[in-house]
Amino acid sequence: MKKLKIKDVIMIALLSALYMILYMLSMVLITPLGPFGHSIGSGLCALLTGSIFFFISRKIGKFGQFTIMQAIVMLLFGIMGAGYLPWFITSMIGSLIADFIGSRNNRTSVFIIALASGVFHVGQALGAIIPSMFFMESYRSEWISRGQTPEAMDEMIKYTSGIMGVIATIIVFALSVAGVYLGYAILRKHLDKKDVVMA
Amino acid sequence: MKVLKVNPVVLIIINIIAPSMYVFLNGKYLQVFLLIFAGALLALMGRFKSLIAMLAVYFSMMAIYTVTVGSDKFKFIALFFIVLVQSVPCLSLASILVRKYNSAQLLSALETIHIPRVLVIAITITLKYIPTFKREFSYILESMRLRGISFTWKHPIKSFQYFIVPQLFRCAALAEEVTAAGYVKGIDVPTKRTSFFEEKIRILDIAVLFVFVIGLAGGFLWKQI
Amino acid sequence: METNLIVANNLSFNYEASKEGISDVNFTVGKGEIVLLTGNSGCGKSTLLKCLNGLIPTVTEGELSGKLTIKGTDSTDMKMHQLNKIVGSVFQNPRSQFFTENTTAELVFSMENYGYDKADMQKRLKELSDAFGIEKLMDRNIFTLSSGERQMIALASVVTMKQKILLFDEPSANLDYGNAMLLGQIIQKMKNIGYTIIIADHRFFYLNGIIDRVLYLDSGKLKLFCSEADFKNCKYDTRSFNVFSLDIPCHKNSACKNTVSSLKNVSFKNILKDINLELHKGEVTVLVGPNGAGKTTIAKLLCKTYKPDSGVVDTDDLPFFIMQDPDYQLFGTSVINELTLVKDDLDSIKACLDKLGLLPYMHKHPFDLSGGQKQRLQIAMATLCEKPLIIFDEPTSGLDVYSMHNVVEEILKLKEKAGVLVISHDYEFIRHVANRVVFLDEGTIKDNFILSKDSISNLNNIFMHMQEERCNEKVKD
Repeated sequence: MKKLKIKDVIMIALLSALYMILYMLSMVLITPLGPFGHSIGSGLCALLTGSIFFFISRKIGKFGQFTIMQAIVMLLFGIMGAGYLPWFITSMIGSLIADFIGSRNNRTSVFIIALASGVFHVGQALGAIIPSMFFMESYRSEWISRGQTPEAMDEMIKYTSGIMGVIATIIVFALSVAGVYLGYAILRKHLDKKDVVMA
Repeated sequence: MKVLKVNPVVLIIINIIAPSMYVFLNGKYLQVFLLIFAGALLALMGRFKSLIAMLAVYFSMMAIYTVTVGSDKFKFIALFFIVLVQSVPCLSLASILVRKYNSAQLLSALETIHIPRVLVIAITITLKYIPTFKREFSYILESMRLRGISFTWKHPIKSFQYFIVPQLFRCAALAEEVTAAGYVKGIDVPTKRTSFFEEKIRILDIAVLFVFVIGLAGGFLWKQI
Repeated sequence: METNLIVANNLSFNYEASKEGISDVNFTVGKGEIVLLTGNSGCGKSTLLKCLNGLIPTVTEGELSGKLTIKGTDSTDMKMHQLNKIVGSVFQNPRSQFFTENTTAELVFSMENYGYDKADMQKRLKELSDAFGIEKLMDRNIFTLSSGERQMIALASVVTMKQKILLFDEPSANLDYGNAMLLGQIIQKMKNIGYTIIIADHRFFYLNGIIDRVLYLDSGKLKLFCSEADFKNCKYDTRSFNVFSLDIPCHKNSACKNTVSSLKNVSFKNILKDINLELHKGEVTVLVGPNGAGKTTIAKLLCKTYKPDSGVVDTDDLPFFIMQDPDYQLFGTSVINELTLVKDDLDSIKACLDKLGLLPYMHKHPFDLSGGQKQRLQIAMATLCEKPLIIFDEPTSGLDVYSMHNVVEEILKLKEKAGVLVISHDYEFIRHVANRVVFLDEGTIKDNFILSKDSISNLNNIFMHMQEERCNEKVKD
């Protein structure tokens, strides 16, 4: 396996700047959807940035590429005061798995890259989904004391955090996969034929 | 009155830890504690406008929550706002962070917590090119308009392609130039990197963190009772 | 005293992919000399420069042989970061030469990398700001600086390690005439206080009278001139040392006065005041003026990017605007595809590519073309677009004399079908293309005349004036 050089890291840093712009754009677009939107925000971002993922895989294709990008994104959100611990943890785990899946060389198939992007972004999304489950839980007793029945409350929590969590995860994954295929469609003709191998 | 100067690292640590505490602590307690803590910090830092804005947003959200939570029909609105309101204190601290400190100062915070050199360099580059690329996106849109291939929802994929592809290829070309510029400025020096903007953590910073930790510990006690 | 700071012995370098290497290069550079490194595009200038600052072999891969000694040490025995404490490099690409958006952060960037402690950094920062007169520029956003101010920051930031050997890569490419002349003065001052300076550039009017030695590269082979006088006497056609003495015939003016676009009493924000300008078919109008005078704003008004606060901008159709950086304007998947976006007619595209010598590259990706080829591709677009007005923004920055002549020819062909507006500060180029010169300063048109034998002195005065303005500004600091 080839090691990342300084030049590779710098290219990742530049592409991360692009990624951040599209991330922030998707956050703005998703705000009207509220907390549920927040958890699928990563999916919208993945849809827009699939081309970046495809580009990185073709131009770099070395282990660590996704982890470094995620680390840059997380640390940037961290210093801007917008990061929090569970999000960091799930995101970094997701990106590491993505690297294991899709960073062997620069001829990885589109499908594998799509899978890697899916895991990468589900990692981000879980950071928002998991804490919100606990959050709902901690309000359960208060809602009950306000006259809701425990059964109705459990139903609601299950619905909002449990089922929604599952749905959000699936949506994020699907959007990520779609994003990479979109990126492939966009970039196919732009990259040399030898660079692009069909799935 | 002398205004309290807080090391950005302190604000960053608080923002990273605080929201995660919902996993361990009672939501209501944490919510109130964070509101008081952030409010006090804003007041001590002399950021009264931010303080007023935070309180206004917080209480209007709570008002909506209180009105809607009793009704079966509208309780989804309540749910929506009670999740949203948890982030208000942290967001107002974050806004101070971004507005009061420049990117070099924020970056130095990373060096305080010993992030590997290569990542510090990488983030320096990312931070510089976010505004640069934003500007360049407007150039690209402008030249799309003049070429008669403006962004249109009729052909979203084609339009998106025109928008993103030039920038991707520019990144590849830029990587080479930035690498060269970086090497001649010593990004490969093996000794430890220092930071001009790094500020020592002072007693006051520790005091702020101490109050924060005491508050969280109080939450654990409250939960026991 | 050590006489030769740099000694190259049979230095050769071959790239893995391209042929633009250097072979058997021998030269010496003494302490306190000003050395001009020149030759046409692709001659090996930048290769040699990369050998001197260590980018070859550290970053660029290829085959290096021969010996290069810097300050008595074999360069291969030095790590990149050791070499760069002796040799400072000034890059000129405005988009990649800075690492931060803040002037102070930029100046301390390399000191941070080298692990200086805060007190040392503060001390050095003070020294630098005194030496370069940049106190007022501290802690500012680099993007908001003028190009001359940026140049000062770039200069100061490469000597933070007290490097005594400085390398410049095409400094004139992004400077207007006044700033280039100012740079010449600064280089001479630096020489006087002991710096050794190597400048790679194909324009060198701003170095007139201060060069000690010329390294002239032709296809990777070096020819050495031991004085400026020797170089001036050689047969190589350089873009002259004294641009004003060039003998270039003026164009005859066509009788046709078909107006394609006009500005009437146009004012815009604080930038432009009461501008009146008519652009004619068959005429090349050159807009000159110092950076920040509002030249680009006029172009953007014509493109309807901005709406004027008062007055009328009259254009039938959007003009075709060729930006300085072609990278924002290329969207196609190949040269052919790029042009079909403009006009879907394969025959005329091929004819046009043939004329511009781009036919062999028609299936290449636009981003794989060289800078000059990208520019010709833009000209091909302009030729095909059938717009009534074509605007060029600094089309010759960074071009050698031959490429410049090519652009001149293309523009002269373009004007047969359309009106052409060129923003430029390249004196020689202006003399070749201009029918009309418009001088813009402080947001108003100070002069507007047909360029003819009698009015050349007007143009010369404008350039002299811009130089004086720039250099006086420096004194005020």
